[in-house]
Amino acid sequence: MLSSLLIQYILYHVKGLSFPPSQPGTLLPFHNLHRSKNRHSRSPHRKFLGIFFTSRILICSTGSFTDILYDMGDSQYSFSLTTFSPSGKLVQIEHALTAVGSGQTSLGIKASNGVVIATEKKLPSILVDETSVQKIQILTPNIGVVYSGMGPDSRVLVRKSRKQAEQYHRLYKEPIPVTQLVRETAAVMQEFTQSGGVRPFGVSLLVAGYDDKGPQLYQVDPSGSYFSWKASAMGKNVSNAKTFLEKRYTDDMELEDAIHTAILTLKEGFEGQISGKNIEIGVIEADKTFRVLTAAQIEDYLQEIRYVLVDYLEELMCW
Amino acid sequence: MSIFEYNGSALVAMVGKNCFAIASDRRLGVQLQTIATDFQRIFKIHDKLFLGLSGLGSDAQTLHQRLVFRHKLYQLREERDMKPETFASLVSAVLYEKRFGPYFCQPVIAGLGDDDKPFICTMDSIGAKELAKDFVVAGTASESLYGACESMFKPDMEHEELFETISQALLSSVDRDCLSGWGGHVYLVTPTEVTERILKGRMD
Repeated sequence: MLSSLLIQYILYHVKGLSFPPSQPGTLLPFHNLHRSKNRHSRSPHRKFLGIFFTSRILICSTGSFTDILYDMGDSQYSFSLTTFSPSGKLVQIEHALTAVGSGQTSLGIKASNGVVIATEKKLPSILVDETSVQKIQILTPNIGVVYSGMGPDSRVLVRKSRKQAEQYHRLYKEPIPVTQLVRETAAVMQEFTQSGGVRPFGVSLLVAGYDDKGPQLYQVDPSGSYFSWKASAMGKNVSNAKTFLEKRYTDDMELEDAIHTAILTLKEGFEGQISGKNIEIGVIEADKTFRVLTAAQIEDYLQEIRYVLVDYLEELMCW
Repeated sequence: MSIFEYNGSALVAMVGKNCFAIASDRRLGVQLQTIATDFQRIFKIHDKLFLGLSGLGSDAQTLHQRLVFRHKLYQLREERDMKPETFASLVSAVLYEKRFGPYFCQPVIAGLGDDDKPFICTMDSIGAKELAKDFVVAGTASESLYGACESMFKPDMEHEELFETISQALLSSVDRDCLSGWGGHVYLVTPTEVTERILKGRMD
C-alpha cells in the first residue's frame, strides 16, 4: 500500500497529473503537508497523519530518494521569492496579496473636484488610545496615502516615499507630481519582490493627490504594479465594497458626495457601530492641501447621513 | 588670468513682451589667439527653452551634454518638457554637485514658461541662481554688456525691437572686450516661433 502511495505522490508532483487518488482519505493530508509547509491553519488531526506518513517514508527510503521527495512540489517555490513556480507564479507575492486581502478595508473615490480616501480603524482592544493610531498619512502637502495590510510595512513605504518626494523637491524646486511619487513607491515595492534577503510588502496603498493634472487616485500593490482608479477598495470585503462603489459612482460626483459614498461603503462591511473614532477619512480638494478629518468632523458627516436616511424613510412612509 | 577668461565669451539674454532673446559672440580663442569664429555657446533644450554657457569652451560642451541627458530622461519619465524654472534648478543642482571641482562655466537660462511668460536667469559656476526681470549677462564681456544693456533696455519690447536692442548691445559690448567678438549669434523666441540670426561684427 505504501509503495502505491509513493508512486502516486511522485506522479502527481513530477508530472503534474490530476489528482484522483485511489484512497482519497489517506492521501489528502499527506499532500497538504508537503505542499503548504508555510501555512499554519492545519488541523492537528491532519498534521498528525502527515507526520505519520512522512516518517514512514523517511524510514523506508534511501537518502537520495527523500531528497527528491522534498525537492518536488510547489513547496520549494514558496520560500525563495525570486523563484518562479512552474505555473509562472511568484507565490510569495500571492501570499502578500492574501495578507492585504485579510487586512482592514480601505477605499478611495476620485470626485470631480477632489479625492477622498477612507479606512476602518479597528483596534485590538477598547483600552487602546485611538488618537495614537493614524492609518492615513501625508506624503507631501498635496498627497496622502492609506494602506490595507500590515501597518509596520506601510510605515517603511511611507518613509521611503516621503524621502523620494523630498529629493525630487530638492532637485527641481517644485512639488513631485502624484504619478512620479506613485511610480517611485511602486519601484520600491517591485524591488522587494526581486531582491535577496527581503520579503514583499504586506500592504496595498491607496495614494490620493491633487496636482497640475487635477485630482488623482492610485492603488499600488505588493508586486509593484499600480493603477489609476476612479474609485477603488482593498482589504476585507473588497468585492462587496467594489460592487457598492460601482453602483454609486458617477463621473460628475462632487467631493461632499464622494465622502458620503465613502462612509456608506465602509458602513456596508463594518462590524459594529461606525463612529468618528473607528474610521479615518482623508480628503484633498482644489486647494491642494491634503487633510485628515478629525473625529468630530467625521461625526458631522455621519449625522448628515443619518438625517438623509431618516428623510428617506419618512418619505417612504408618507408614500 | 582666470580659466573663465581662457577662451573668451559674451552672453546676454533679454526679456520682451511675451518673448525673449538670447545672444552670444562666436569667438573661441586661446587667450589672445583666435582659434575659431563659429563657436556655439547657446543650445536649445526644447522649443521654448535655451541655455547659454559662457566660460571654458570644453566645459560648456560637457555641461551641455549632461544637461541634455538629464532633460531627455525627465521628458521620458514625466512625458512633458521642463519648465524654465525647473530646468534652472536642475542646472543649479548639477553644478553644485561639483562644488569643489566646478565646471568653469557661467550659465544663462532663458525660456517661456506656462502662459508663455518669459523667464531668464543666470548663475555662477557652482549654481547660485540670480533671477532677473529684464536682462542677464555673462562672460568676459559681461562688464561692458551690463553698461550697454542698462542704457538700451526698455521693458515690454515687441520681438522686432527686442532683436535690434540685444544685437546692438552685444555688438557694442564685444568691441570693448579683446577676448570675445567675431560676430554674434541671436535667438529670438516668441510663443509661436524661434528665429535664429547670425550677426556680422568687427572681424578683428
